[in-house]
Amino acid sequence: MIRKIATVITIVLITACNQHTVVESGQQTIDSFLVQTSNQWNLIPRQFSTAGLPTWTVDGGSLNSLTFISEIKDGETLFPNTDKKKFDTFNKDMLPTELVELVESTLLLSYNAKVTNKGQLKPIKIGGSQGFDFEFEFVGDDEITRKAYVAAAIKNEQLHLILFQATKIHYYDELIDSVKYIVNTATIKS
Amino acid sequence: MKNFLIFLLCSVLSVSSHAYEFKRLTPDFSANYTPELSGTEAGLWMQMDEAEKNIKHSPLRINNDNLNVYLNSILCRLSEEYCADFRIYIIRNPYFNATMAPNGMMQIWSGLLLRARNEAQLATVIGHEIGHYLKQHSLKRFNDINAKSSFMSFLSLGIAGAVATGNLSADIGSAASDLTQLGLMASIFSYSRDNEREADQYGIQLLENAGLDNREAAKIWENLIAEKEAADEDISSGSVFFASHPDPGERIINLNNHANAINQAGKIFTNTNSGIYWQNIKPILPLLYQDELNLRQFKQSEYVFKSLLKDDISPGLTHFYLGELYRLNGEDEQQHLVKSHYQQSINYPDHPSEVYRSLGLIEYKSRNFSKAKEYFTSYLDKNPEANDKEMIEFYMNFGA
Ligand SMILES: [Zn+2]
Repeated sequence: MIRKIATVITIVLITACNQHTVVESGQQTIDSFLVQTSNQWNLIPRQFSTAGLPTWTVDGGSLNSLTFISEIKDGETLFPNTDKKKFDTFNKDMLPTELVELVESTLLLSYNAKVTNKGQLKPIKIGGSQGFDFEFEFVGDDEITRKAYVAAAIKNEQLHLILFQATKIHYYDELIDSVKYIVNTATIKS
Repeated sequence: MKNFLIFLLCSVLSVSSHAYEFKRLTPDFSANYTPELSGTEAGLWMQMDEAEKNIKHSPLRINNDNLNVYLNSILCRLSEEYCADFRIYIIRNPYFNATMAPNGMMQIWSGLLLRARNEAQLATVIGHEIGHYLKQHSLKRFNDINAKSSFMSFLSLGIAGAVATGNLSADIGSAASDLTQLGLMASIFSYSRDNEREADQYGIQLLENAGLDNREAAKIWENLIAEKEAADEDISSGSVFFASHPDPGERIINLNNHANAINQAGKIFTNTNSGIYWQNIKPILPLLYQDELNLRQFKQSEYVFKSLLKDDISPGLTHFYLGELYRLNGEDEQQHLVKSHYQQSINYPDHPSEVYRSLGLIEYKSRNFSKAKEYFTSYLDKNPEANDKEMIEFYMNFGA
């Protein structure tokens, strides 16, 4: 445990050195998403963000991060610049059950992680579009248990997705409400 | 083709091996051994004891009491005298590997459990690791100047070095865990070929103590070669074990020679203990299958799943996961196999409830909504607490 805390502190120190751009609370546009935030976030520079995608954090990317993935088209992988032979690709006819696999598999292969627990998969609306959300826990090489919350919808045959990842200890519970506020206020541009 | 060549080589060599007499190995030290407090070895043990404390509580450890008891029983039958000196940890890692630390901590990766076909094959690997321990191979490597200097540079790399191993995204920490550190150490301490040969020989010698069929020893390597060949893959790719161990073709020959020599001189044991092995693995088999599928190495996984099916291991479960494999692989010409494996699965009493969901999804996508609804109803009947219950009910209402 002590070593895990030490690891976390080290990561905080590392991330603290990066120049973060503040994302003020209020209305924000991120690619195809228009959202409202209830608190302040920081934009992680692309070279440190999840797969180079637009990603926000409150306390540092390894502790909590919120990634916006927009306009994934038929035949594309979820993360850009990933090997299509290895990574699952999106198909416009996929059902939520299959999209869960697409997201999980992308994360597992990217982090060399294992799923340790699965939460509920439910239908939700995202800005009038029929979508779904789900959560799961995973453990990567650093052996820290993280929790992911994913909200997604297919609009105009493209996949739009919000991905929240945080350590299971402390950070997930601390931020999940503000993440759900963002999802509940989100609209997807046509 | 390669298999055939190896087989030919083996048969040629086994004919000529009549003159060869098996030399029994003896341990370098007695049971209950602990190193002297001041030496390098004590330092090595202390490091390992520290790592072991964390591995005990790792979320990647498979904590199945019955399975742990069973694996320990194999270990104790192989080496009754030393069995109290070892601790076995089952680690969730879908690759084929096992490791032994100098303090007697042994790790068995879950990918090995899925690939051993019976107790005799698993015992071959456990015996091999016991062999490394009894002949103090890691200490011998450590005393090597080269190993020592790379160990020091490994220590100085610390966390900063480990971050560089990060994958796609830099934000999920890849800080060195104890498991990764041990992996690194294992590669630094990778035993010499002579050490490996000695461990193989020790392993096959120990099988006799457990009354297990030593002719199974070479088969585990034959299967691994066949699995890699099924995927048209180079034997060394993706496997830590192959990268750090000698050529499997050579091992097959040596193991068969040892087995023949032992069997010609004494009693031949024919026990493979396949039934008891799978009885103990079954509770974690869905996890092993799922982790294997998550590697997205379909050709290799197909070989493994089909091997289990051939041996009639959990046919209901195995058919289901074969269907899942073909579905996830997404090749058009395999799509007919998806449904057929699901349907074969439900013919067996050990089919998982998820097979009804998978069948329901196929019908739903083909817009056969009433049939889909039947399958979804079966799924929820058998699995009333399903975590995707609301989603399944949504599908059912949409079709209605
Ligand atoms: Zn070895």
